Order: sequence, then structure tokens, then C-alpha cells
Amino acid sequence: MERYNPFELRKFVAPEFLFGSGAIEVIDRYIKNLGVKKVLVVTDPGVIRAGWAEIVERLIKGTGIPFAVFGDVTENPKDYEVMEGAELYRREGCDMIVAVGGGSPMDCAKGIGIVSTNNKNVLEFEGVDTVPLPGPPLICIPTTAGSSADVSQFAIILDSGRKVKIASISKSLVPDVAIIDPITTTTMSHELTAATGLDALTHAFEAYVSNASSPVTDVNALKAVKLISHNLVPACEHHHDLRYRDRMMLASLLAGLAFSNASLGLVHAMAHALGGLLDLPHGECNALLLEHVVKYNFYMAADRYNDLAAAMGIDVEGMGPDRVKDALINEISSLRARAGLNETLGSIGVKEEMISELSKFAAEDPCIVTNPRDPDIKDIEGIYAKAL
Amino acid sequence: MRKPSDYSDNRNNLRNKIIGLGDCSIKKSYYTQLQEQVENLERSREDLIDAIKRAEASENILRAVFDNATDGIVLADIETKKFSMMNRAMLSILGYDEGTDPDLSFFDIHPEEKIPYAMSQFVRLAEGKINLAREIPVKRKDGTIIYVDISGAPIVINERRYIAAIFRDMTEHRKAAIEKSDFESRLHQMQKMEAIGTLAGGVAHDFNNILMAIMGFAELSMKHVKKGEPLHRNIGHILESCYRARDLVSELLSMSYKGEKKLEPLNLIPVIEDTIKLIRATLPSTVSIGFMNNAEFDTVLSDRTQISQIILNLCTNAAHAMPAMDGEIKINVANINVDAEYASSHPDLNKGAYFLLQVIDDGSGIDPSILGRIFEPFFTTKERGKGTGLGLSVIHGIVKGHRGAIYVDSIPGEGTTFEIYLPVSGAEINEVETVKEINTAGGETILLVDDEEVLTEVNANILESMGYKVIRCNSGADALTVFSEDPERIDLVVTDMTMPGMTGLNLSIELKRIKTELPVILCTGYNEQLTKEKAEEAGVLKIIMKPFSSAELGIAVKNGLNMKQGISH
Repeated sequence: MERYNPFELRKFVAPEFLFGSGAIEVIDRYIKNLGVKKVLVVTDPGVIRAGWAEIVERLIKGTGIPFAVFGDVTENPKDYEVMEGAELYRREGCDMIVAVGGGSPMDCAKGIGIVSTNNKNVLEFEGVDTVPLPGPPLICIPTTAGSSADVSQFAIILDSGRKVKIASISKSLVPDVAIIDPITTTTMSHELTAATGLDALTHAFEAYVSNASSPVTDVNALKAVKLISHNLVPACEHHHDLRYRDRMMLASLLAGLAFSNASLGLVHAMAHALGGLLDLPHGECNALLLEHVVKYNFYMAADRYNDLAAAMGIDVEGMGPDRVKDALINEISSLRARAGLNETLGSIGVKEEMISELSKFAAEDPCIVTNPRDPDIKDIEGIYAKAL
Repeated sequence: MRKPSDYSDNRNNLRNKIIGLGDCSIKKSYYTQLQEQVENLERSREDLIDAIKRAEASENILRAVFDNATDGIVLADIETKKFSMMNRAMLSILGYDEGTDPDLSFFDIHPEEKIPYAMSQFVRLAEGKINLAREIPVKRKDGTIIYVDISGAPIVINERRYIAAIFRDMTEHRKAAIEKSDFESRLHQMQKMEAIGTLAGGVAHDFNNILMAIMGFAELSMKHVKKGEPLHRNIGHILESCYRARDLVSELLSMSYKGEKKLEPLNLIPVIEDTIKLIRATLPSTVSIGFMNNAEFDTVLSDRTQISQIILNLCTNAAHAMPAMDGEIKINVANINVDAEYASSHPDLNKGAYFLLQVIDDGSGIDPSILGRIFEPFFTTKERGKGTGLGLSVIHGIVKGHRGAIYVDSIPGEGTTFEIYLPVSGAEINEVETVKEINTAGGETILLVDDEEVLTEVNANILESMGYKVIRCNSGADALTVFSEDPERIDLVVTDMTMPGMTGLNLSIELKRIKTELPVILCTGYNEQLTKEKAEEAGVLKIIMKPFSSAELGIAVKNGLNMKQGISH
């Protein structure tokens, strides 16, 4: 397994980001400063219901710059939705995009951007470093504390024909500005808070144990794990307590900065396969798979998992790897349970006969390449089976 | 450590790409967008340069047209009335030097008293109700007044409203038009007067004959009625009317220059006093007339009717010049001795004694610009139809005919003074001509010839009533026959001029062949061909104008007979 190599030349990316309560109120300044002609707002019905889209629209209106709204994005954004959004963008003569919402609208917005500048179908950008021209200016306003699409170079789009989620990983996909306002997460339900929070935990875990991890990303990943371990459950229970929301949002940001530069692992590869085939919620899939992948990976990165266990509050002093492994898996499971996520893959609709196909897709997912242990199909099938 | 394999090589490759520099997908820098914008800007800049060049070319063309237009062009701000653009022609029209940029507004370029009118036209142009305002008076820089036609339309430039106006100097055109119209109206007047003259000349003869008959019979009738009786008064009125009718015919003829006036020594004071009485009766009582007589000598070779006409005309003009016919007319007369020095400065006057007649009014006066034209025939300031424009020119003609001079002095708003100089005559007044009852007949025989039987009748009766014997003839041929039978029997012939067959003139010639010393009196109503010279050649002793009174006839006959006696004795 390849570890951090101090002599390796590598690049770290992050957008300009604003963090703090009330950050959303400065969106109009950014739009004005960009001197654009027309804005496309990309969002989804849930965010519109919560009222965040309306606030953003009001602020844009105040600039006098016209805008159009693409508000039909669904969970696990589909290739055709991206193309519809790009068509609207072209038809309305827009020259910048504002994404408001969770991972779905933000990934969709990234897709719309690169489709618009490159005049290609979004599926053609599958893979790593495949976007010739960057998209137009993109400002992301996350309203969940989990996806971190607002800071990442990842865009995950569902190929509706193949029923598989494709990942496009490119420096071009990093948004220009992330306006991260914890207040926007106060409208999340208990379930969504839990699922997105565990998504963020997964990001931190996978980034930390990634074979591309680095001191820059490690710091963020460990801090994210600490914050999530302490604040996820209170955030779920006290929706409107900004202290927990703020910490969870910070955790998500740190996890995002970590995974965007260190990439992910097997959990995400497997979760993408589930989302593609069964259109299951991404965060929940991650949450249900994490402990199983930790168990599978553990001995390939025991020292890293040791750090993660400590970050989760486990007193690892004097513990041998086996005990740490068990304690860590227990803690993840316990946190999931305390956050209210008591499902299994089986209980959310995954059947045994799907495992073979799911595993094939997972093995092809680019996230798998940085997993600390190099799995084959059989390995993946085994993990799915355990998670049923 | 992992075993190297194709599978893991591929994954390793992907991992390196994620954390690598991103050879294909650089982190966005807006570079392409910027590049596009820069290209757009560059294109825009080129377009802008092109547009500026085109605009400059277009501006040059427009500027050339604007500057070289022969009409003045100006942008007049509708709100402030200021002129914001003026071409060369406009500066020239307003009397400013080319290249100057005077700060002018509407109020600077119109004569003050014409501003209300000019403003009304400005507003109508601004509202688009008219697109041409004709003959607007404009005050140039040097104060001279010109007349311009202003055509224009309201336009909006940079949210300000203007009239884009074109000024055309119409001063010369206007003058020519006025002159043309003047000439036409004079021609028209001349033709009118010609027609009146022809008409007057045509009717004068017959009309005078008719008057002659009425007057004659009236006078005869009067002799049979005692003074004080109503009938006597009635006949008196008939006679007065006849005299007025006679004067009317005479005026008609003189107005058309058809009449012939004979100047005789005349005392003017009584004539003037009579005329003033007549004027008092015709003018409203609001016009007062004063008369001051400082003249010691008032004998002037003149025509009574014409002297009356002068005074009548001047007083009527004076009254018309008074606002609401309210004011004073002063008539002064005096004697002036014109010495050589005075005469040298007054070319119309000669050295000698003059009778000066002043007519002074306190009316509106005469505008200096037309003062020099008032004696021109047909020049009038009165409305068409209110005056012939002849009055002052007739006076001028009369004064000239009297070898006199006329001067006018007028101050607008204060009044006008006319001065008429008439040479004082040393001649004695012909006392014989004084009208008085004459009854001195000694039974002389008079041959009376007139183709109008009624006139032969009336004049025979008049002469018979004076004690003469009268032989009546109704044609020249008859008269010649009657005369030839016994030329010695007939002492004097009174013949009409215009008769069928032989005229009175020819009759006179024939009669004089027979009897050289025969006095012939020729009566005429009006005859263009008859001149004093012709009459003298034909041996006519005297011409009397019909209609004449019995007294006039009597005097003429008596004088004729006396002359015959003078000759024969």
C-alpha cells in the first residue's frame, strides 16, 4: 500500500469559501462583482419548500441582474436533468450558475456548467481529468452538512441508460465560491441530518485511510471525525440549535476539503453502485456500508484506523489492533444507531441477486482506486452480502 | 505491499491523476471566458472605431450641409428659449460675424413690441400646430429689422425638447411683393379713375343740360312769387340743390382731370370762411375748428372750388387722423414775404409775396417712413374703399396749378401741419363778375340757339324777362339761315356748343364771316374738344358753363352787348 510520499508533486484544490451564520446574505455581492448578464439558479423542490431558494432569488433580484430557475433536480441527479438544465441555461442566455441545496443540485449545476462550455453530453466527462474547458462561474450554497460538493472536485451523475452513477473528477469542477451558512441546515429533518452527517463521516474516514492521503488532508479529516462524533446526535435531536449545526457544517467542510484532495474509497464506490441501480439515498448507503468496509480494510491501514478511533473518542491507549477494530466498528454502528439509522441494505430494498451487478459497477468506480485495500469483485460481493 | 498487476496499475494511474496537477482539467480560472470577453472587447473596440469614423464622416457631411445652407438653421430650446446651434447663415441673418458664438435666445432676436406675436408663433411651432411662420420680424445685432419665414418642427434630443428651425430672410421678397401689390393697386385705381372720368365726361353734357333747364325754370318761377311765401322758399331749395348737383359734376370732372379751371383774382378769406362753415356742418362736434386770420392781402389768382377743395380735403384728413375723431383743427392764414434767401432753401417758392394757409391738427401724425410718399397719387393709409388716395395728390396738383407750394411737417403722436403758399396777386378783382340782379336790357335782339327745345325755351324766357327780344333756333343750320336773312337785326348770339349737324363753334365761324363784330356767347355743358384757344379762333367772345344761373347769363349777355357798343362806338 502506498503511503504519503514527501517527494510526490501534487496539487490541492479548494474554492474560495465563506463560512458562518448569515453568509448566504452576501450572495448578491458576489454576483454583482462577477458582472454577469443572467444567472441560472439550480435547486430542488425540497430546498424550494424550505425557503432557501426564495431567499437567494430575492437577493439576486436586488442586484437588478435577471435570472432563471432550474428547480426540478431530483436525488441522484440524472444525465437528462443536467442536459435539460444546460438547455435552459443556453436558452435564457445565462452566464453564471448559483446552486442552492444538497449534493444533488450542486452536482447537477457542475454538470450544467461543463456541458454548456464544452457542448458535450455530460456522460462524456466520466472519469478523472476529462473536462477540457471549465464551466462558467459557479457559486454553491450548501443546505446540507454532508455532501461537500461545494468544495469538491467531484460530480456524481446518474447515467439513466446504464443505471449507473458516473463520477467526474476534475479540477475544473471545483466551484468558484462556496457560501457555507450553517443556518441553511436548520431546516433539515432528523433523518436527513443523520444521513448527511454520516456521509460526512464517511468522507473523513475514506480520505484519512486513502492511499492518496496527505498531511494537508489528514488534519481536516481527523478534525471532521471528532466534530461529527460529538455533534451529530445532538444536531439530530436539536434541529434549531445553531451550535451543533455550525459544528456539523464545519465538519462537513473539513471532510470535503479532505476527500476532495485525498479522494475516497470502497464505501463510495459501493454506494455509487447502489444509488445508480436502485436510486437509493447516497448518505444512507454510505452510513450502512461504512462499518463493513472498515472491517474489510482494517488491517491494510490499522494505524490510520487507530487515529480515527481515537478521533471518535475511543481510548485506544494500550489497545491492540484487534480491539481497536472492534471498538471502532462498534462506535460507528452505535453512532449510526443513536442518530436513528437502524436500516440495513436489505431493509431498504437491496436483494441478494443484485449483488453481482452492484459489485461489477463498484469495481469500476473511480473511488475505488484510493481505497487502502485493493478489492476484487469477490471481496465487494462479500461486503454487500454482509451489509444486507 | 501490493503485488504489481495490470489491474492495480490502472487504479494507481487513476489515483495519481486525482492528486496530480490536472493536465487536462485545470482548476478553472475563467481564462476561456476572459479570452472570449477580451476578443469581444477587441471586436467592440474595432466596431467602435469604425462607428466613430462613420459618425465623423457623417458629421462632416452634415456639418458641411449645415454650415453651407443658405437658410439659417438653429436649435431653439422650447423650455429656456435659448438657441443652442446656429449655422453660418443664421449668424449672417442675425448680423453676427462668422465663427462667433453669441449667447442668444428667442427674446434677443425679436423687436420688443413684436415679442407677443413672435411668441405665439413660437408656441405653435413648438406644439407642431404649424410648420411655417411667415414674415416674422427679427431684430439684427445692429438693430435693423428684417422679416423672416421660420419653418420648423419640435424634436427631442437627449430628453430635451427643441424646435429645429430654419430661418429664411424674406425682407427683399417682401419689399418686392409690397411694391408689386402697390403698383397693382395704383393701376387698379388709375383704371377706376379713368372709368369714372369717362363716365363723368359722358354724362356731364346731358346732365348739365337737364340742370340748366331745372335751374332756368326755377329762377323764372321765382320771379312770379313774392319773397317769404312758402313756394318762394321751395323754389329756393330747388335752386340750391341744382347748384350742389352742378358742383358734384364739376368735382367728378376735376377729380378725373377732365375739367378745365380758369384762375381768376379772388379774395380767399370769404372762400375759406364759407368752406369752414361747410366743414363744421359735416364733421362731428368733437372736432373743433379754429380760424385765425393774419393776412392783410388775400387776393390770389385762384379757383374758388379748388381752394375750397384744398381746405375740405385737409380738414377731412386731419379729422380722420384723430383718435375717435376727437381733437382740434387750426386754420391760420398770413402773408409771407419770401426773400431770396428763403426762396433758395425752398425750391418751390419764388421771391415775392405769398398768402400762407396753415392747416394744423393734433391727431396721430404721419409715420416718417411714409411722409415722403403722401403726395403720390393713389397713396393712402386708409382701408381699401375708404379713400381714393387722390386727395393730397389733387391738392398738390391744385397748388402747383396756382404756382404755389405745399409743405408738410408731422410728429407721430402729436400732429401734422400742412402749409400752402399761394402767390398774392396784384390784379384787381373783376367786379363785373360779381353776381347781382341785372336788368339793363334796351330791347336788343338776341339769337338763341340750342338743340334742346326746353333749354331754348327757358333761356328765351329768362332773356325776355330781362327785356330782350329773342329769336329761337334749334339747330345751327336754322340759325345761320335766320341770321343771313337779316344780319343787322341780331345784336348778339347765344349758342349751345354741342348740337347735331353744326356745332356752336362752327356756327360762330360762319356767323362771324357774315358779321365780324357780332358777339357770340358759347354755352357748353362739357366738351373735351373745346379749348379756350379754339373758341377764340372761332371768334367766341365768352364761354359760359352750363348750368348757369340767369344772372350769369344776364351778365354775359350785358357784357357782350357793351363790348359790341364799345367796338361800334
